[in-house]
Amino acid sequence: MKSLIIFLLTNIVLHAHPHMFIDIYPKINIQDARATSVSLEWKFDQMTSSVLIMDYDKNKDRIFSKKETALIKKNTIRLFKEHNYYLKIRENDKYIEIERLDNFVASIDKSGRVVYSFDLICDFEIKDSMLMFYDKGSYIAFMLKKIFIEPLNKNLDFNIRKVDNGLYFGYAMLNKDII
Amino acid sequence: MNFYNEFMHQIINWQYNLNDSVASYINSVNENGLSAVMVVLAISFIYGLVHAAGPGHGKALVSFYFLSRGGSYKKAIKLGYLISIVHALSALGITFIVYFILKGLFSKTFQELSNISMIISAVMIVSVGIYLLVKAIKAKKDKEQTDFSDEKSEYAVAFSVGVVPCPGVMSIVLFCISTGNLYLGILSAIVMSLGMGFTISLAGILTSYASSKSGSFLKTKGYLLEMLGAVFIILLGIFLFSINAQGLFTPQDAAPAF
Repeated sequence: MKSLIIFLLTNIVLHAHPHMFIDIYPKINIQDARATSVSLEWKFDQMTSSVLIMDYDKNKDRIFSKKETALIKKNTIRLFKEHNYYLKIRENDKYIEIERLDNFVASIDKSGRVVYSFDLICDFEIKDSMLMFYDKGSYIAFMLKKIFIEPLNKNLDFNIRKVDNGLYFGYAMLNKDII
Repeated sequence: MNFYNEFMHQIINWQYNLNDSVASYINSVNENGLSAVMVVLAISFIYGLVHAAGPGHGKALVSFYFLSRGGSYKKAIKLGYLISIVHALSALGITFIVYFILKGLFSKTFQELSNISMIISAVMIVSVGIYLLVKAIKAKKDKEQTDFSDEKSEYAVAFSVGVVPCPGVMSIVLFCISTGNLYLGILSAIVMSLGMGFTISLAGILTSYASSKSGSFLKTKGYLLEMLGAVFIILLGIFLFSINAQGLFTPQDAAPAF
């Protein structure tokens, strides 16, 4: 009986699982030991990229024109805001509000992957801060690796941590201090 | 970190790597021919197997169904593969309708149709649960053995879960179309669904096995299991309906389509 109950309990978790994979390249912009913004690059997986290119690169020139970028921005920014930019920033014990998104650019890299670049304007102390990337709906898997962060943040001492609460999963950049 | 969280992270990482590998090999098909096609199909099978190991894809419903009805391992395999076939056909059908017939943004239209299919799926799941519950109550009242050879409910279960298209299958088909390999896309979708069918069948087999080891009390009071399984199926359908109806009416709760 016990084995049956355990099996059923582990099998009834109903939330979605990732269908989209995004590599995150974060760069923290610092002024006087405080972050003034976070520049992000979202690099979509090859399959999702092909759908985005199909949807938005209407003239098929492998470049998102101003008009095409405007349409992406129109559809994307609303989603970003509704999901709090898929980012939670923690400074000591409090969560930091992201003021706004600036400088949105969409492009296609040499390998055919779609890249969204943008800045998130926010203000927090670097020491012991944490940037958590995850999708509560578990539809997107955000992937964060040391090799994505290191070249962009040479003045930072940081670690990567897994984010999970049993329902959603992601990665966090834990900033120890400025070097 | 507990075992479940660690397992989920591992599943996500495997999917991330498999997704990248299958896309890279699809890209190389035009240069490397048959050998690349074989690798694409092999990875698609493993991708389907791992993809269905995450939450969803009807494993919960299959478990409750076998809890309610019992059944052999052969039956579990049959049901698992029925679900995966409908799942693949649904994804292929919707992908082709959106791609070849409907205009507009593919990702958004696919998502909207998915949301509608999820509502249909939830209503059907509740109906299957009610049907099984009524049957179990009737059998208990008439002191009869439940008729386990009833295939109608199996097809209803398969259709109710499978009707929701898998975006993973849609992505692979579209990616193949974008590289000029439509037939490879269809083949990959079928092979991926075979992998998913294997994992879904496993859920039924494990429930059957766990049920058979559940002790003498439930063996003599089998009708309790039948009713309990049916009630779980109804609750599952109601839960799915509530979260998907929320997504349908308040789009911010639906899966994102960039």
